[in-house]
Amino acid sequence: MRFIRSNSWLLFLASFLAIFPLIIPTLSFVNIVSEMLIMALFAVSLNLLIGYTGIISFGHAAFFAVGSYTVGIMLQRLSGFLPLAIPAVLLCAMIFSGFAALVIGYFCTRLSSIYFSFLTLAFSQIVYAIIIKWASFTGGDQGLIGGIPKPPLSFFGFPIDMTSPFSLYYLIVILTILSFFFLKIVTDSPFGWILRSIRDNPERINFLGINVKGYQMIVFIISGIFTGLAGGLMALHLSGSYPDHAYWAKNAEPIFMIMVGGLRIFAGPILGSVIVTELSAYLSSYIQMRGLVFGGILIIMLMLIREGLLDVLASRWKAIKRCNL
Amino acid sequence: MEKALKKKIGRRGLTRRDFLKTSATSLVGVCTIPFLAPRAAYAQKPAIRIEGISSFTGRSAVTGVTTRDAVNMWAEGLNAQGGLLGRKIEVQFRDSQVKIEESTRLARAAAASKQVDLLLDCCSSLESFGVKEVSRDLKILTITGTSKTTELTADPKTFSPFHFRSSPSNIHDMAAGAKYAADICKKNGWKRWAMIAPDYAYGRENVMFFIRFLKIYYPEAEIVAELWPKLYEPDFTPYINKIMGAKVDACFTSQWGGDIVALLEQGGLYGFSDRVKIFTIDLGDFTAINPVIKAFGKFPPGIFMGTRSNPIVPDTRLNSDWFYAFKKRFNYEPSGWSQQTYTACLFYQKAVEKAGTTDQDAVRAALENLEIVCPWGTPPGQKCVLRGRDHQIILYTEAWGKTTSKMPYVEEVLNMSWDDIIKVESEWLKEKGWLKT
Amino acid sequence: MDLASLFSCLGSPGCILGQVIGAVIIAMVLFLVASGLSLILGVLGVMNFAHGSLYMIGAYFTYTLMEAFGNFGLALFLAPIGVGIVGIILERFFIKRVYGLPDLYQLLLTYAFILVLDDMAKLVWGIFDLSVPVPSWFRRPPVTIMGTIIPFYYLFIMLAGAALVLGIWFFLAKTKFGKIINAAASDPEMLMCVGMNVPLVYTSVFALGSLLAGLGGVIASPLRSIVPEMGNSIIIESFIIVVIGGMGNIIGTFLVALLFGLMRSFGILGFPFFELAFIYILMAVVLILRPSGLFGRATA
Repeated sequence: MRFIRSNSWLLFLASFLAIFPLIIPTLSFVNIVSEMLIMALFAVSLNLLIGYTGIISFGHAAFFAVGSYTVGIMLQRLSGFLPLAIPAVLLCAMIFSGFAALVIGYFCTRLSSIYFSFLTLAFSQIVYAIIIKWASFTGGDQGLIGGIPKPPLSFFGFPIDMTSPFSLYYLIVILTILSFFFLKIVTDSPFGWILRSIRDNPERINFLGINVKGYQMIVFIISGIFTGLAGGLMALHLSGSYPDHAYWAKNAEPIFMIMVGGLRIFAGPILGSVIVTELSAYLSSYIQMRGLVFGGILIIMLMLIREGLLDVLASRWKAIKRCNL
Repeated sequence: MEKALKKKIGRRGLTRRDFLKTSATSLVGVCTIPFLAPRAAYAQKPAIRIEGISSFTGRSAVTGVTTRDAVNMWAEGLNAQGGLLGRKIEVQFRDSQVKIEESTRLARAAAASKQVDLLLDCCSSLESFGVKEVSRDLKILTITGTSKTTELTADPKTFSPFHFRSSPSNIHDMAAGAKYAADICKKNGWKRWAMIAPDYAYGRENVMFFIRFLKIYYPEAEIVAELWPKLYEPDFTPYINKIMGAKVDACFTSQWGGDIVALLEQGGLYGFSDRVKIFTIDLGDFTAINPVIKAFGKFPPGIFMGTRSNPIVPDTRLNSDWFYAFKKRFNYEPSGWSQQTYTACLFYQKAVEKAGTTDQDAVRAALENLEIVCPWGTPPGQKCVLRGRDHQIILYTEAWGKTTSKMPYVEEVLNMSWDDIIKVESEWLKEKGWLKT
Repeated sequence: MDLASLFSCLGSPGCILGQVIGAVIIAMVLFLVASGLSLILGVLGVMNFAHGSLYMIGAYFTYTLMEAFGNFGLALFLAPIGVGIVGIILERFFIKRVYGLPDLYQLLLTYAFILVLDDMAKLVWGIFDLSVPVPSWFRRPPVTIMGTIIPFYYLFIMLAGAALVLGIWFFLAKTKFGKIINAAASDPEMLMCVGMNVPLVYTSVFALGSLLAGLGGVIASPLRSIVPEMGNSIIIESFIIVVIGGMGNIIGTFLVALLFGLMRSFGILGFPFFELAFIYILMAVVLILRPSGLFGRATA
């Protein structure tokens, strides 16, 4: 109960997202918010590593792609043979990306700082190369084209048409909000506090007898699982899986969102996702100067603000509270 | 506001976290407001809105700028004469940065706004598949002006009544090119061939078709080497070494843009074009011709090339007038993409005039099997047709020639016959099961 | 896999020579960019993502200088200096302010530089592909050794490159300035205590690193197409070379660049299928087996 109260913002967000399209059903809203939520999930999962544990992964796009292609391949190729439901396929996406995170994480967590980051990059580029080369299975450099069939969901006997963007939207809202709840529990738990200590002072934590590498592995896997879910949802949203999903530049997007929204607050990457996605959509008509504007904004933020937006609000609030006391 | 907050929070008081979260979510709410605002309303008679998706980022900016300029030239010309059906044409291009998510999102946004009359897909071939999906799902009239991947229109399974293509299909280009090459090689006995193409769908398709058709017209040809540098490869030296080592007579290359320039520059150091007969489809675009002239001081003669956009291919006033009008207006030569996208505009114009409305269903029906006269059409009639069964443009000029150092840089131009092209195309389609006899 | 092709080449000394030279050329350009990156990373601890863009600016400056004066020697001299000046501006006004912050911020700042620099290049030089002709002194008929053709320009690159490698190594290892740089890398506070102007050292190192990247751009410009974003593929490769070769280790960087060039040249013959992933597989193998790189010191 206390948990629900201290995370009332999440409930508020969930209700807003659920009710809004019922009042004003516009396709544009549903389109862009679906994308914002999916990338927010990606960013929040990645922030488990960057903001909470202090390790930067350059290769999380690998898990995004594993999730995306699992959903794409299963629905496109196998739905003729097996009666697949979307939730089952998404679960598979999470399992496969979790497994990939296990393998990749095993090698990467043995290293630290920049070497860790570059090894994750190496693995994700190898995944990218495999996707491109194994064309018979993955569609090669074109990706899975031709659309992804979405079998109807049966909800207590009622079939829900999943080809409608609105139904898909609600599925995305439910799954991402549930994921946020779960991940919030993780970060608020003692496990989460150990992660923060690993970020702040790894040597000391080591001396206290905590297996730092073990904890890094576990959070890497959790992060990989939810990144895979985000990838799977993206494949459904786009009706396709593309090799781009594994490319290193795809990893830059959630990193921007984390940076803009805030590293140290759970909701930071969510806000970051909203801002970056919206900015990106707005800038799409600034055709000759997109990089200039986007890069310029980033530079100004880094020079003046130096932290994510919610980080700034958090420290200001702390300062105010101190004065009031 | 405060009372409501206090009530919600209860005994614990307003904590920092609650404040942060509430402000964050309010921010979310505020951010969504722009999406509810409809796109700008128009005064008087509503304008015809044409939206283009292309790339304006980095090395792909050439595609975006040259297609946007072509569409603007067409719109300006029409608007000066009172518009289309008396309505002004408004053009808005958006940048997809060669990202599939971005282009599908922009296409969806255009469809969802319900205010876009025509969507021009000027994206990379990869993105065009995604945009076609959107065109099919959300039923927005779309014409592709850049992608040449055959599968985009050839596969009947992905047919969409709302999607058309005004750019050439690789199979047609290669059918023409292979016949041209076969005729020349038969005369000279150039049997040993190397293929070098960028390792992605465009390159792979081109080589696949070229080899197939070359063998049909010139069965003695031997394909000795096949090389696949990645797209935008900066170093061709290892590939050049391999080709020269294999002692081939001729080489077909499907590199385009910066790649064909780099290949020739690096090859030039080895005397590549003197030792091997080069057959290239994309050197004939002025976006490649100009840097090659810069690199060598003059355009290297003796290379066999197809042309994309050239004032004498086809050799008619309609074509050269259009070419030089574009050059005068924008201060650079039109690219192949400019030409193809302009053709899309011409098709749209005629369809709207024929249907008498911009209602997408009516225009779509008018576009089926529509025939127009365009600068690019095969002389003497210069007609192009949007074939009904696959919405693919046919009958445009497919010409190859030999390069020369003087403007317009090509001579001995041969227009290849569309009867031959259609014949070998149909054979291939039947084999794939994509054409019912 | 095309092992037949690979072995037939390995059996012919002419072919080996040809491919090795191709490899050296690839390696030289990579080395110039990577060495600058290595210096900046090793001494300043900054992951300069924008290093590829500096390489691109070097190529564009060369184009402008060649258009204006037609003298490649002048371009060879002035263009890198121009890029060095750009580097000084970036360091003085922007990078200086994020030194204390976690790595992620520097990374994002330099990534933002790429976005801005690429667009500025587009605005100044236009969207079309540009090119620079091979300088007239090198337009001689190629030399033939062991049945293999060697372009004259390549001979120049190899000789000049070798001189550069030795020169840079000598500069860093033996001269006073080089020792100051090494000191700044290991213990900047101590350096400041002995009265050295450490910020000036930092700026000079950044300028030197940028100059090297610009020089890479000059040398590559007659060979490759000059386009916006031409730096984006070289930056990833350079980072990998730096990580594998050891940060701040010039000879290590050169050897790894050479290894990479050889992998490309011969790999294309024997394993064209894996070309996309070569460098990443190499990095993964090296990092798993030797976590601090092939020649790196054990510090991070």
